[in-house]
Amino acid sequence: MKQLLLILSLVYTLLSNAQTYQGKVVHHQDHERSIPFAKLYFIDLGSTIYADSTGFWEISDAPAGTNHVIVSAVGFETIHTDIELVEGQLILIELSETHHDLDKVIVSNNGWLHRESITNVESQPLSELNKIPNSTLGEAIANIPGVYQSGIGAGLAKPVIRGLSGSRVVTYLNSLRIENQQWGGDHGLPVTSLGIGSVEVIKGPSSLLFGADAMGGVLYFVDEPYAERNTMSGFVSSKFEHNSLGTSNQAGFRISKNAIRLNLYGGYDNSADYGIPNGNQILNSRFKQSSAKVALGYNKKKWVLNVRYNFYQGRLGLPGHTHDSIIDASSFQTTTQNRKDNIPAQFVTNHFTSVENKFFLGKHELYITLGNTNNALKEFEEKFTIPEMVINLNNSVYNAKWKIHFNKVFELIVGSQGMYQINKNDPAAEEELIPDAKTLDVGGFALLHAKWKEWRIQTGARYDNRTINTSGSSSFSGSYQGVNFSSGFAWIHERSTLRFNVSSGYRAPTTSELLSDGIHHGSARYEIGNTTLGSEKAIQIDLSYGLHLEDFELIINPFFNQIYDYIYLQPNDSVIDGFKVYNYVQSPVSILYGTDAGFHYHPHGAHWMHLESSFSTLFAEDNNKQPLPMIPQSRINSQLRFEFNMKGVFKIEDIVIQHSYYFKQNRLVDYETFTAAYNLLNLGLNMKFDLQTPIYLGMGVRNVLNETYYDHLSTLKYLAIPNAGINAYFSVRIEFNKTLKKH
Amino acid sequence: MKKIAFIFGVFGAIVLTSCDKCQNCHYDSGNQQVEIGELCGDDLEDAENLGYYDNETDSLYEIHCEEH
Repeated sequence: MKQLLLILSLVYTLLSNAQTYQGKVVHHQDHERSIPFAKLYFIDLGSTIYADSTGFWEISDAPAGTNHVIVSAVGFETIHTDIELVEGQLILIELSETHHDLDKVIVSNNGWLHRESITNVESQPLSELNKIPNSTLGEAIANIPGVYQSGIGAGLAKPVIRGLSGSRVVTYLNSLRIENQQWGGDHGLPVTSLGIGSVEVIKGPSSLLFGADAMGGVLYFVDEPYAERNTMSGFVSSKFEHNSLGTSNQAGFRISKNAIRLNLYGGYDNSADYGIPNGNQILNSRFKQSSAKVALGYNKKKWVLNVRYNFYQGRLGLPGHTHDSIIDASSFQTTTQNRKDNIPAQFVTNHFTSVENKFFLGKHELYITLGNTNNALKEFEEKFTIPEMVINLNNSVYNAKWKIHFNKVFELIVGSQGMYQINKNDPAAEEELIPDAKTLDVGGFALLHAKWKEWRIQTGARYDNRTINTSGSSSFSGSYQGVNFSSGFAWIHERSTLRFNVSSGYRAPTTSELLSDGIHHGSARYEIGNTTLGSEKAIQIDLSYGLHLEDFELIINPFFNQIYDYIYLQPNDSVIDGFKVYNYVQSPVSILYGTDAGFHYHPHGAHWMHLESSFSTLFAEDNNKQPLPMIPQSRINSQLRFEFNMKGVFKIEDIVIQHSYYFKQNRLVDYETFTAAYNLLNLGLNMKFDLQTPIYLGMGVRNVLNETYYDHLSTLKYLAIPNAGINAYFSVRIEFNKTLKKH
Repeated sequence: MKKIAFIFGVFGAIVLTSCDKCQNCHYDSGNQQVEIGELCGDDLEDAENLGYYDNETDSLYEIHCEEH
């Protein structure tokens, strides 16, 4: 008992050693010149503070030692830096003047992940991706170079990174890994835009920190930060889209009082069938979804705690439903736009819970996340009240990371992740596509960073083990192991950045790939698994060069990804119960290679103008030089933005013109069809009533040219169902802020 | 604080409100589609589960209730 008390008192002493740290934000060339009202965001604490009019800032409740901070001030370059908090010592933070924010748009150095990765990490605030609002989060992230979306209609979008999707893309919500039967082509992104602050994307298998499976990459969604210290803020927003008569309503409230922070959000989206350029609507493309989010934060000197809960419930229509052997495309269209529940449809309920702990102990940092995700999926096909398929996927995870700062040059990160999945079918359901299964994943990694002058070097290795046991009629037991490495360097100069990385990846087959045997209504096919499948392995080489001039930035990012034993679905000639049969097979060697490139021009003579453009292209083939299926079209995305610095209550903030050109896709497997090139043009206008409670208004039109187009990755393309036609929108957002008394 | 409670209250009401599910249903008889009108709640579930009994033809039919 005495020992226990001793340990507890030691922990308390470590955690409650109260100290206050002070510093100043100054001009990088003249330390006498202070920069007023700079914003300092302490990333790991989730705390935001402001410097005063003399550039002076002060923070308590922060751990001594290294802290990761984003510092921004109007007219100065935003920096992401590590500062050393030492009591009694004035900490100087230097900012340099700028008239542009180019690297934020193309490749960010400000991200959460970037400081732990040697490869490019695309970090985009959601507000940037939604300058012209997108209908879904999946659409928004498809604006990032190399990121696409596949799916079925408006409500179901799946992220595709460098041509890979499904189980090959790992999704994180903060530090919680999300599992939602993502092997299914019709099982969409399990997150809405509610309360999301930014998204970061690692392309390819270059990250050792996020577990196995990420052959395509990692999507890392970061929640909006907590309110600034001793303030409360909130918003109510609403958006209407004329094409689908869709509404999206959200409300949020954030409060930060001393060491306790709370974020609360609620949202509801409802869309009727979407319209196509001929004036008709696509029958049963309707969807509705509600979501809620709570985050509670607490920090006590050396300990930061975040408890998060996310709820999602959605009913998502599956258009393109037919039992006719000869398909009549007109039967998928309607002239009476409707939003009433219909079949076939998916009914999805998600509960995501996580408890994040961070401990800052001098030269050591310890991160421990425990979490649970529960995904309940019901697929209604022929009957309204009786689902054909009912599956519950419960996933309990841990994520532990220990960071050791040896000195100013070397840093070591060791960690481990694990998850225990239980997949259970409802016995009352009419069908069982995948069997009841228990999956145990355990992995560990070590990663060494070195930082010397302009050089960053990283090398590391990872080991993973997956065990799958199924029960019921198809009893199966399997175990899969993988060893991976990642190694690379970055040379970060004021005007140039060079990054090079070689990494391997591994993905064990999923239960669906091994043991499927049934109709998958969402994908309209009969799928048969293959218990002889082995693990996929990959080696990727990723190179990037960035040129950063005063008014111009350019980045080129070629890559080469070779995948061994690539698992894919191949159709055979059989038909079961009216559905074409597909088998899971493996290709010995597949190669995916391509380039993402982009520039941002912000001319000296016209500070109010921003021109950005990016180009993404990808080639994929097997060892017989035959193309792989479902590879996205090459694409050029361009955006021209005019900013206005108006005075007065009413302000036009900016006018945005976006153009996308999708190249034709004629590299096809024998069961795919040619996809023609197309242009999309979007216009947006953002305004603000600058009142004490500011009101933001937005209006604009997507697909202004009412272009009839088919995305190559859309499964509806084969039913001659085009994407949405012209779509006008109107949005309003009201915000409030209030400063609270300190005690 | 009252405003915040009101806003979240309204959202909660929208999200949690549910209604009795009704659908227009039909069955196939030969080459004909026979409309049987709107079925709701337990009637709809029973008809989908057990089939729809048509007194006129003295037969049990499998019904379809999706929108066309």
